[in-house]
Amino acid sequence: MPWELTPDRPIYIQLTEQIELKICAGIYPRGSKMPPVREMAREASVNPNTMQRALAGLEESGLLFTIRTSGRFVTKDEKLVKQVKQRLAREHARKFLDRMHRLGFDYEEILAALSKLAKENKK
Amino acid sequence: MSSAILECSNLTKTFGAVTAVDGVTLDIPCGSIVGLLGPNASGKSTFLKLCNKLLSPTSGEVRIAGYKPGMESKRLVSYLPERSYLNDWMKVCDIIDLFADFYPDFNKDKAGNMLQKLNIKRSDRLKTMSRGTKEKVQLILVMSREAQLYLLDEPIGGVDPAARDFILDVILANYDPAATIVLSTHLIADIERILEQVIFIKEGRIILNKTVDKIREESGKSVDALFREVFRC
Amino acid sequence: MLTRLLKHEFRATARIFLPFYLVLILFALINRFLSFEMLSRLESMAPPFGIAGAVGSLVLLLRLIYFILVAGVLVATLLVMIQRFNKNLFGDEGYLMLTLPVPLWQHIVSKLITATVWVIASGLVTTGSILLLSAKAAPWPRVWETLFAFRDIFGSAGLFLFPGAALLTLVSSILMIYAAIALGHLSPRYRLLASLAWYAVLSFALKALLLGISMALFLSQTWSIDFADIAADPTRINLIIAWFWLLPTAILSGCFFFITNHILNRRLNLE
Repeated sequence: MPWELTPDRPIYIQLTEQIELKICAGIYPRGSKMPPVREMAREASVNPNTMQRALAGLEESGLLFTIRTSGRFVTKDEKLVKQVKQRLAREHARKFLDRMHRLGFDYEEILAALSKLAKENKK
Repeated sequence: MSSAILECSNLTKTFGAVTAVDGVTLDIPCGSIVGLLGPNASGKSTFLKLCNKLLSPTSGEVRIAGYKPGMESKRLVSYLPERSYLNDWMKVCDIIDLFADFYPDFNKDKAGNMLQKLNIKRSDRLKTMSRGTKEKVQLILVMSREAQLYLLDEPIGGVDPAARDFILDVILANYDPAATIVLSTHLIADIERILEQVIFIKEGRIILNKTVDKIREESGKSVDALFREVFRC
Repeated sequence: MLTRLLKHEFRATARIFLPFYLVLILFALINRFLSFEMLSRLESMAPPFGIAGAVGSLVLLLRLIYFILVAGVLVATLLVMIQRFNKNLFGDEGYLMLTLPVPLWQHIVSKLITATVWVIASGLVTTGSILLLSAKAAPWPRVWETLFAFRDIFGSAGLFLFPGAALLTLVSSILMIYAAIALGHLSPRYRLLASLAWYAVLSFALKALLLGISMALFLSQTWSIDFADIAADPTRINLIIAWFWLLPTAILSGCFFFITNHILNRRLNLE
């Protein structure tokens, strides 16, 4: 999963969101050790200090934790990750609904369109 | 000692009737990557040359880690000028030798590794290299020093996008978070995400000095977009 | 740090001079063996028509090339001296050299030493090549003879004083070139032209100054020189050289060095 940054919002916020996404997707599995900040910054081509800020924010929310001698780890708390997943899913869904409304779809139409798409995908 | 690695107060430089740097007062803290942004001929190069004592100020002063530009500051500063300063007759190993001889903080292995990545051999002559390659060699030399302050004048000047990625990667890979990088450029979009703080300079004056995230938060715009707005012709 | 500067300075200049010297000596040798004597011998053997003439023009051509090479070595010595100072410190390369953590005076000294060595080397190689070309016998006996005769007249001190004074004059004229380049750098435009103008001014001022001082001293009673004394004891001339040649040249060298160093230190403006 590449790092995608848009130019209109603060970089550290976008980094935070994408690390959350990567944790939920299991790219950084629960309980695993995170790569060093410098490496992550280099991979995303961002300033290490900005990456550090994003990671510090995630530590505050409990998704990451640091053991002084061995580094930074992803939380083992399954419930917490699930909560984040729910939150991200809701955010995405809300954005989707917003756009569909702007296109002039009402709820029934949206649901119909979704189930049709789901069926097509199954095939 | 203050935590600022680079301080200047009321720094002014005039060339005849032209004022290139006009009363700049500025503190750049330790441990950040700062973009010095402005259109061509806005005074960026002049400012960096003043910091390196290649120009003598008309008035005001610069201090680097508390020192006036001179022997002490030259030890701490790694400077990339906007032009090529390499002798054409030299081989890569000659210039590496020169850096290693004079800069105790020059890391020969680091330079060797990066040159190898570009398929540049130690026996290659600079004469045979393209302008872009020479620029990269120069950047590699400058970034292979473990300096406290890097002053990079237009490091991504005339190079193609692939080379730009390489250069950004060289800067990030060698950046020690305790050190400070000040880099000047007019191509902001490519470089915005590695900057922490930006300084807009227009006609020799500082017109904005903020962190990138703050600019994005407050204006909802990228630094690049803001730059285009501020410097619209 | 000075030794390291010298190392790089010699490396940068040796690559020009050494091949030049080699070619010069080579041509001297070729010229020696393809000489006019050989030509006359050839003619006496009455070779087929035309060959003697062809060899004759070849010999002439080789002589010509040799003399061009001699002139070339001398011009190159001067040009390299100027270029190494002007380009390496005041040109684009100055961006590298002047940001090295080296005291600025060491740049001047390293370039001065290198230039002095090459001027002497060029002189020796040129003289050597002329000897190679034309000497009938080894020159050493005559060199020793001259040196001993010199010592007998001027004493052992004189033996060192004359070359010392010559060396100091060389150093001082190199420093004058450096000072002229540095002073030319102060003008906002046409720096090369300004340097030339400064060189003219400096050398004119120098001559006027030296002439003035020697005239004043010559005319003053305390320093009046009795030529009868010198004729009686030629070593007295050593004292005159020390006072009228060495001392003013040393003072001037100091001035030139100070001017150059001051400009590099306080008035530098690389554009």
